[in-house]
Amino acid sequence: MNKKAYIESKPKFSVIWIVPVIAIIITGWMLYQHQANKGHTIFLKMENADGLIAGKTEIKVRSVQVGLVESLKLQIDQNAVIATVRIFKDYDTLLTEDTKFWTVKPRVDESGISGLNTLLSGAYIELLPGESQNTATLFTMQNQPALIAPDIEGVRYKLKAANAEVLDVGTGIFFRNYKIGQVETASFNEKTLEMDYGIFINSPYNELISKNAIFWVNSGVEVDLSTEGIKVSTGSLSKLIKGGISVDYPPNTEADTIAEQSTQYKLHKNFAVALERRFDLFDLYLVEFEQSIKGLKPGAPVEYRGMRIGTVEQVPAQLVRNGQPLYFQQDNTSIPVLIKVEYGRIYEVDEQAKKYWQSNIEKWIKNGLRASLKSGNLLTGAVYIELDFYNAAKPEAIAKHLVYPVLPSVPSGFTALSEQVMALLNKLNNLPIDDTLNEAHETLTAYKQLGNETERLIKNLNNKKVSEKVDKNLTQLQGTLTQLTSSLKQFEKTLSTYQQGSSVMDQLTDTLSELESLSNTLKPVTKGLNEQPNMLIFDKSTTEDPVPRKR
Amino acid sequence: MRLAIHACLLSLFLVGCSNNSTSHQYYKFSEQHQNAASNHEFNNQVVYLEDVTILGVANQQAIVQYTQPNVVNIASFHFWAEHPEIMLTQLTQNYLSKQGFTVVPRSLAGDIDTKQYSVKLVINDFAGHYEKGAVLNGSWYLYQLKRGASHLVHSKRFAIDNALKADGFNALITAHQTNWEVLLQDIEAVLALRLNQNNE
Repeated sequence: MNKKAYIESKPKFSVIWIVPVIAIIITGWMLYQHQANKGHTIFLKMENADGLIAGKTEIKVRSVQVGLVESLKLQIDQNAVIATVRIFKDYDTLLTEDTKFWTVKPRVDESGISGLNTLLSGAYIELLPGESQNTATLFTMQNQPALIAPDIEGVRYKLKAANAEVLDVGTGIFFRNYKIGQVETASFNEKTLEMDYGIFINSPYNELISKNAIFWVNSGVEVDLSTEGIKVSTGSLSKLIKGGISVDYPPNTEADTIAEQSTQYKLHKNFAVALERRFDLFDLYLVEFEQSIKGLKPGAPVEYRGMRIGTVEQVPAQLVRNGQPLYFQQDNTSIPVLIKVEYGRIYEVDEQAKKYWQSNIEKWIKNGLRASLKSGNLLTGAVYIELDFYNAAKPEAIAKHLVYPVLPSVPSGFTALSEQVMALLNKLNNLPIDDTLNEAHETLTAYKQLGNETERLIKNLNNKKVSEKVDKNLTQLQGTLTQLTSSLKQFEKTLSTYQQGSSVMDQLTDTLSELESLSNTLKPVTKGLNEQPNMLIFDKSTTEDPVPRKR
Repeated sequence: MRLAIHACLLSLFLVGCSNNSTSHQYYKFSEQHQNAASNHEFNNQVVYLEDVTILGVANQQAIVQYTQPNVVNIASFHFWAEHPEIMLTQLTQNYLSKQGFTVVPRSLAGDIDTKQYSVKLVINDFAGHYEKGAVLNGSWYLYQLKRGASHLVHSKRFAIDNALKADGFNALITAHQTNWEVLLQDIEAVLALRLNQNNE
């Protein structure tokens, strides 16, 4: 009985190891799925995390959640906050380098009121996808919402403003009070000392921006105090609140060819200034006034019988003769004023107007064309220069002894008025005053007779029908009073039924007495009930009353 | 046995519902003392009488007694036949009328814009007393009416007591009536003096 034992070698790989291997594979697969489904992590750099809550604040695109703020970390060295944001798996294509982020929260600014829906839901971060193909993971949060999304079509132009007020980004561009775009960028050029604006005109309104378009600042309310009076003009309510930039074509002109992108325009202070650029063909003239020029200011109009033909340039004209100002010379007491005759105002084709003017001016002056000061606005005291023909004017010719030709003038205003007053006084001296006084006396006599007749007429009226009517009315009034007295007596009678001693009061007193008597009668019963509540069922078990005793 | 139980229950029921011997007693002043003859002639001068007012515990129909110091008993079986205020008012009116006064209740006077007198009695104590018998305390006032307004011309405080002549409630009622008549005699004297002065 000899048996041989078999020794089997131990297998190198036990089957039992399959279980942990499978577990590792499953774990790895789960980790991969978790990471894959987790989406992409990006970082947002911002000045402060106002309104943002880690784990709660959502990232939205067009109100659809595409991510979540996972954490907020303060970066002290950069004075910034870094938000770790997880963008969901399917939206990683949104994360291009020109993607914009900003916080949506309640805002009240010049563009209006926005974000009110976040009052209850809390702030969220809006994501505006970019157009770039390059992806990024670090973004800088904007303080303000993006004005113009990349998918909005339109054309960008440039504006330069030297004297206009500074406008903010977001200011509207209006074409005949309709908003067609807005200011996209605003910066001050320290070299040219001008404001550079980048504007965006929405499509298809960019077709309105022609080469001859003019831009001017249109404040909400425009008050123009000029020789033409006070002019107050307002735009729409939003423009009234926010102001804006207006764009239009010059009056009586049509749109030129459409301007190309990035065309630069000048932004004028107002509409009037915007128009003046057209009158660049002009001649300067000197007008010497032998009177006060108070109220005349540069920019005041020069008119011919109400039609504007030019503008006052300098008041007084800064001209020097022999090293002295022209208006401070003893042999010359007049005040020189420099004016521009703008031919574009005379006729649309300014060259033609210039020829016409220059060929006829000497003849006109010979025939009596003179300049004079006229009061344009009594309220502001502004004056302007008017050219007109004066037949009684002394003959003069256009003087050319100075730098500029001199137009002759005639006195006006108080000077002219004093001359007219003198003329009037002379006429008064020649008036037949005695005859006038006699006529006045006769007129007064006639008025006196009329008064007497009127008095007699009134007396007649008093004695006749009027007194009868008054008597009739008095009779009616007496009847009414009698009726009123009767009503009052009836009312008094009614009241007397409620007075003391009346039957009603007696009945009431009797009733109260009976009530009092009943109350007195019930007092022993209530006393008994207090002492013995079951008194009504069983007999009184109260003790006998104490018997009064003789002492 | 069953019959005995039923009989026992019935007897208990009858005993429970049976009345005791105590009964309620009601009292009123007798008229034998009010037959005094008329002593005065006042030419139909009117005297107005206001309702007697009782202040305090005696203002009820139950007869009130002071049985010992600081102890008041309000009777459970002995009552005035009518409220004492009404009873005393009527008694006063009858008494003064029999004395020759033309007495008119003030509440029925109507127009009182005349130069007349008006009497007002205010009672503070109207009760039996363990030592004094019957006590009557209070004040009375005499007003003269002028042009619709009352002018107080006389007032007097009174405190009258009267010992009982026998035991029992009847003796107490009699003592009360005597007290009241003593008071009325005093009022009569003052009133007569005033009216006589007016007549003179």
